[in-house]
Amino acid sequence: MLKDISVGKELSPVVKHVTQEEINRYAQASGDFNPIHVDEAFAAQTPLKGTIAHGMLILAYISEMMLVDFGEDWFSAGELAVRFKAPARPGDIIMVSGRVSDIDNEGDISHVRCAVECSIKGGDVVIAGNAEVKVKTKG
Amino acid sequence: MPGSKKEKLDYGELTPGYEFPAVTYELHAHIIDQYTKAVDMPADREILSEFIPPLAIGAYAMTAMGNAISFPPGTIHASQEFEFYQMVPVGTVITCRTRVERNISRGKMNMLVLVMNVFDQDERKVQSGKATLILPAQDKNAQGY
Repeated sequence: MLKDISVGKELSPVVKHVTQEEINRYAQASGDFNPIHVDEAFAAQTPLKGTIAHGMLILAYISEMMLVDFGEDWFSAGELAVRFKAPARPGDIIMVSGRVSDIDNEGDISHVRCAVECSIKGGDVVIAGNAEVKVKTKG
Repeated sequence: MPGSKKEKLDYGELTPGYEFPAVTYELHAHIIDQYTKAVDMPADREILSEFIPPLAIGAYAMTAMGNAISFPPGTIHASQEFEFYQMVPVGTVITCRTRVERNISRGKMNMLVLVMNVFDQDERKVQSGKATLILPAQDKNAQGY
């Protein structure tokens, strides 16, 4: 859990390696078999020139980072607003990061806002946006 | 879990305010286990044995919606919002209700904005979301998915 939450505090980073096997597992788990994710021959014929990971798979990595730092508060009172800016592909290493950008105290609840991002190691930003979580500060 | 093949709606026919038929399913432990493995979430987190990761609910809501609409190749998931209202225990039966907020045609692209609300078996709202999709203009000969 994040200690001493303050503006500017970095969240615990998460690093993930995207593989086609993982993308296929996610398709199986979610039921999203869009061929751009799972059909390598089809995807090769598209402007993307190959398969890409589901945006929701990469977004799950941000959720994991928020869970690590905010625990149950994330599951019970979290918010996310993100843009998918570029695709992640098999072989990419995804660096997930975040920083507390604002804290708004309201009684015994703190609204903690964080700027969050997933980027390919040495490359594009894949997802960028904001996450907010309501954290109980007393009792 | 969502995944059934039914006749799909043509996205060009969707008008703001249109509500998709509600989709209901039970999030069994094995479904959640499959999800957490798929997203490579550390299995040693105690919370995951009792409660459903909110993005698992979001993912199933999105897929249920995807099964209702015929999306052409080239569809892009441009942005996503979620709000979680409470912890959802494993085994909960959830119902996803989705409506069209906007469907705008701009030249060769369409922008479709969908609003999703997810309820538990007691009709408590557990999650809401908004997805913005960019779709290529319709080509009647193209094969969707």
